[in-house]
Amino acid sequence: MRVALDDDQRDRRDAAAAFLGAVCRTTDVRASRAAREAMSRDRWRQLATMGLTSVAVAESFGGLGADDVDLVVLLEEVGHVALPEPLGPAAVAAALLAEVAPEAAARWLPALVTGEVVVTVALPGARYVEHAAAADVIVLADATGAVRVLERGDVALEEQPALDGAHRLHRIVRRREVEPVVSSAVAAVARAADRAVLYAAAESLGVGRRSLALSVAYAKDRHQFGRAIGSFQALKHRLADDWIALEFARPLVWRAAWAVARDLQDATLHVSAAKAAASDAAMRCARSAVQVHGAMGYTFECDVQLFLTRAQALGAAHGTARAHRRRIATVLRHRDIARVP
Amino acid sequence: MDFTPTAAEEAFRAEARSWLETSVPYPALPSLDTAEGFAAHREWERIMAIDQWSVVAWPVEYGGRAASLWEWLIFEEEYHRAGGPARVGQNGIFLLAPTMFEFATAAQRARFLPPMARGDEIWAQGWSEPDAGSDLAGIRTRARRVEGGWVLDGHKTWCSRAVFADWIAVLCRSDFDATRHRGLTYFLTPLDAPGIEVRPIAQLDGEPGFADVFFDGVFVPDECVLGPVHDGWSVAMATASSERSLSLRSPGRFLATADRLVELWRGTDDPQDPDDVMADAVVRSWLDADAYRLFTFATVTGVVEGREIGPEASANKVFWSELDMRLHDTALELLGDRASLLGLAPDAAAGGRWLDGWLFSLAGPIYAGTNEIQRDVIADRVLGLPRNR
Repeated sequence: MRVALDDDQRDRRDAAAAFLGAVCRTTDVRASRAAREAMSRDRWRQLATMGLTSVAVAESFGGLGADDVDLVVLLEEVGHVALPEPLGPAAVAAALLAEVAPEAAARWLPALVTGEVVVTVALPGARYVEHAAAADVIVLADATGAVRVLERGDVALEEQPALDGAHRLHRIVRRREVEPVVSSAVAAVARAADRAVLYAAAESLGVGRRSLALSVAYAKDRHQFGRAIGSFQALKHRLADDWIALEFARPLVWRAAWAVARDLQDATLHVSAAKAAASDAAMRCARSAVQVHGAMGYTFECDVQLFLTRAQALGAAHGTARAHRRRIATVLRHRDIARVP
Repeated sequence: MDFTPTAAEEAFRAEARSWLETSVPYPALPSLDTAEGFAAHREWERIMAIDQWSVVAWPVEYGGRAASLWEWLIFEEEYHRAGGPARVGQNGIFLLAPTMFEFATAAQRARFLPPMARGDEIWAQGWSEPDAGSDLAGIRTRARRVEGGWVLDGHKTWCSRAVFADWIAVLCRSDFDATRHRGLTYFLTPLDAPGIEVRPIAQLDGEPGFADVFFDGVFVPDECVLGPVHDGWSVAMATASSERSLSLRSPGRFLATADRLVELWRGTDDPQDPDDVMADAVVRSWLDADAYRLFTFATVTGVVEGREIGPEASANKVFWSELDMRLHDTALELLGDRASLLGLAPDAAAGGRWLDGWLFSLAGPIYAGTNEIQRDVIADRVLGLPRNR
């Protein structure tokens, strides 16, 4: 038993965090929101240069072949900067193609590794596709287990303007008849859906952590009644609870990643536990940040809103916390859930 | 990262499970806050000690099995899963013993630990005073230096299980010129020593679960000073760290309660809950118990690898105490109007244990340092917010 990052994981995380902090400042997130496609091709290529688009790509396709644990550690840092680019969806697509469609994987994944193409994913149960208009490739999976690779021009999209403008959402209105690269890969598609939920949970942790950091910094700096507002117990206790929520959610995310990577029994439910805890934690931290910043927190100018809107989007996507608890309840009502460990 | 137990840990679990299945007393023992119940719980400690299950993590020479922290967690899970009785010696085995392993002399360890492991000597803890609760540095019980030892005078309160216990560990002011945390010393004394008077205090449920302990010229020999003279604060903080973090409330306890809550829920046919309101409450509690378990594994990983448990111990304490309340709140809601029945009521569910547990859960946010203090510790020492004291 060992519930901690190893030295390599910690080093890679720190390197990724430093890089992401440099290429994705809050001014960059704001610029993305204002840009036509929101995501930046330049930054996508930079991410590729750092190896971040290849983390989830199997070694046989030129990637790093890291497992889900490595990925959730990275995605927490992605959430920490509210990165606009779809690293999570691309990772889901890469794992799915590598597992069930080697030819399509050989065609597309090396180009994902180099950053030449942007890949996103459309999954059963998710209404909207993140960055569908900007992506070169949409890996579309349906509930029957059919997986298709759609290129630009294969789909007609309808944009659904959303609060978090740095992550554009689209509905696929029509698509050309494209032969599936695989049919009836039901289990692999279910695993892809689990990964989408898991990665949203991991990003949420980072969003929450950043929100809390903003709160703490402001609470130390802002003075009222002759002292720093961070010395007031009402505020201290609120922020202590935010920290507790994050710290108790993180091991759940790690455990879910471990379970998904090994395809353990009830991995889906461990993913649900992770999403419920992480998205609730992120939202409470983001809301605290608004409150702690006072009227400033309610402005567009204050960076708090970037993480509030991200927390809200991640919470709503891939099943809300309550929906995931309901999924657990449906099983737990009738049988025990396999514990890990 | 590795969520797989070793073969040795699996074998340890199987051995513990098998012993507990045949040994845990049934029906449940009477409340340990009564004379009869206390004696029965003491007897259970003796039975566990005979087969070396009472203090699994201790070295073999003191009655343990030299189990790893992981094995200790496994034992705790199995213990609570089997419905093992409350540990009457918990102040000693879970709190004082870890402090003794750090601060006691070899002679003290040899003298005190074996009878503690056998339940022959049950320990109480004398910290709080009428004017020193959360602000423990306000301690006024005095220790005066005399030939060969010290003489204690003062008043300790809220001493759990002191009514029937044999020994007490007492934090006293030994240097009257020093202030606050300096000038305190930690003493060990039998509760039947001349000059000690114990007065029971009835808890919320009416039982004498804790007590006032008065010291009037009580002599304590030098060999019963634990740790350095005038530096009892360090000794006490080592205990507080055990109390808040790992040893006092292991995840197994809440895991078992969560599983029993799920059993209760499965047996509750609830046409009144079409929107799954109770289902959501049950799953929340169940998930939180699971989260506490995983958080503890992360903490244990750190300890095993030589990292000190820092202020995150405070997060632990806040979480388990509030989890315990949520578990019992949810159970009482499921029970509806049966929730208020005492165990002796004909319609009582599970011998009234949910109501007993609910009452006990209300103490959780108070003992071992109030949750308000724990949140301050997190805000000050983890988040680095400005101090307000």
